[in-house]
Amino acid sequence: MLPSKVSRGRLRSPHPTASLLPAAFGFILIAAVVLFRGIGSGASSTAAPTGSADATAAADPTDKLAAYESAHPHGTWGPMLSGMDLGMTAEPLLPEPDWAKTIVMVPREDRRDGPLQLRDADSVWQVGSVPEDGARLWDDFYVWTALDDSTDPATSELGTFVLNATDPDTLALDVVYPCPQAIGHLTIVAATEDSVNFTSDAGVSGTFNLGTHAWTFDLASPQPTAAP
Amino acid sequence: VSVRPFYLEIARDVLRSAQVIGAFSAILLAMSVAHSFAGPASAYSIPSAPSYSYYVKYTWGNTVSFNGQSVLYAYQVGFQSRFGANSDGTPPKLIVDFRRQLQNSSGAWGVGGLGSGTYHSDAWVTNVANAFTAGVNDGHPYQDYWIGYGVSNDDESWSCGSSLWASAGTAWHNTVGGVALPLDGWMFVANDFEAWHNSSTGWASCGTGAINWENAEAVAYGNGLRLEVANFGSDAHTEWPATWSLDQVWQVSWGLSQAIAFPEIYCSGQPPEWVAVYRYKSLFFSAVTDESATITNCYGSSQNHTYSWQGAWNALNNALVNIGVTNDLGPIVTIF
Repeated sequence: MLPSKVSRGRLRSPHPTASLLPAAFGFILIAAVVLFRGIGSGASSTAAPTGSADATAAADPTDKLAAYESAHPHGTWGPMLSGMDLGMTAEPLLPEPDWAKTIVMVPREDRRDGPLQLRDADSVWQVGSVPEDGARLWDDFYVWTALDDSTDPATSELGTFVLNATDPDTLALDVVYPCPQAIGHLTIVAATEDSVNFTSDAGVSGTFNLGTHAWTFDLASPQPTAAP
Repeated sequence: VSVRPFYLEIARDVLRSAQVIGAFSAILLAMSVAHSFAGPASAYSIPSAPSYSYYVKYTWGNTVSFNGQSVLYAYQVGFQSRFGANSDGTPPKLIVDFRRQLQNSSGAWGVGGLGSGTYHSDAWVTNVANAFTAGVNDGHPYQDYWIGYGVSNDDESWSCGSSLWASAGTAWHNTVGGVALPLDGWMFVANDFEAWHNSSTGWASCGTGAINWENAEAVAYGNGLRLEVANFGSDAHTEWPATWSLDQVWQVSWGLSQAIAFPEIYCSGQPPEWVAVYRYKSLFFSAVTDESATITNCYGSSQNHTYSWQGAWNALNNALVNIGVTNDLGPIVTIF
């Protein structure tokens, strides 16, 4: 028997106003209800959107998907490649694989259609990985910078982000740290597993500590006195 | 021959008509009563947990040890994958995003943007996808789920009328065609259809190209199998109306025969955009696609805040309810 792919039936629940009241509205009203609400047909109860003559033109989605499933029986298309014992669990990937230790600048080509934080960021670096699911997975850890022009003066922000995070611990690493100085766009120029070095288009350079989240600015570089 | 008075004939006809009307009314009354007790179709409810979708990295092709056996890292990711849950048993759905299609110098199709800056062939994609599916099979025995293998239409430099859109659709059709169906679940195709406007180059994708891609991709395999194509992108018409009509967004979301909608709801501005699509022509939103993003200016606007996955589903649901739509949003959230 083909397993259900979607909930084919529409959900029904007792209606608090259930009564014989509709009968009081007479034959015409009842007929209208029958015609427009589709009693017993399972048709959508969706009201026709205002101004859309085609609002109810689409087929019932449950019918559409049910027809698809009916036409394409399950499990007849090629063997699986697996064959592991049921109940087997994955082992931690320890020590950390070398490929998980990558520290590299991420060009726009590798992020333009990726996570929202990284798409249009000024600068993005992968700074190694973080363990997930008890080190059964190693997820990329990113540091990004972008200008927040909603503030006056506009200030940059630096964020951290874990790709494909699912654990609360890794999801919690999705954090934004506003730059305490208005020094324009930040570009990350170097990184270690502990910190990233940046320069700004105002000519200021500095460091952000990934452990303490502290900003430090190079006193030898120009210091802004106003918004760039 | 006796002749009945005409008034008796009229009285008989009236009586018969009354009987017919009475019987018909009784039937309708019974149906009305049944309908009243059944109540109106009620909305699906928010799932109790989301399914986690994935951006593929080149590292998914690396080999790791799984209980003494060498498997691709993609297998391990699939094994550890997390599917959502909901109250009505609708299968949870996740997407595996291979980013975007491109050709190598020999013209062979593959994907790019996986983090290494290099091209990966479609054979590599098929191999990784099979490993992921196998991992899901083994990590989630006897569970019902859907796995979607997708790309985006962020194919910069392709012109709107280029034949590359259809060629890429055919290439993806063949690539996914090499992936075995899950043992206990189902498989679908996905595309992150968006405008992808590049302010530097001026390029944007177009609705015509997207439709050509889907028409080429969503043809039947030799055994008759046709896979659904989920649009998990944003409303491209709002993003770039010069190259995307509202109808084209609707077509790749529902209108085309295999199209199903997984609308992207990352930011607070997006629910009303998808409601505008719905108001143009109705459709069923199979799932909400969210992202675990914390960002100040969602799509460049400080007025646009990001959602939790619960917030994303509720926001679209509330926007639909506000226009009287109560049953066209499925109880599924998939989150990148």
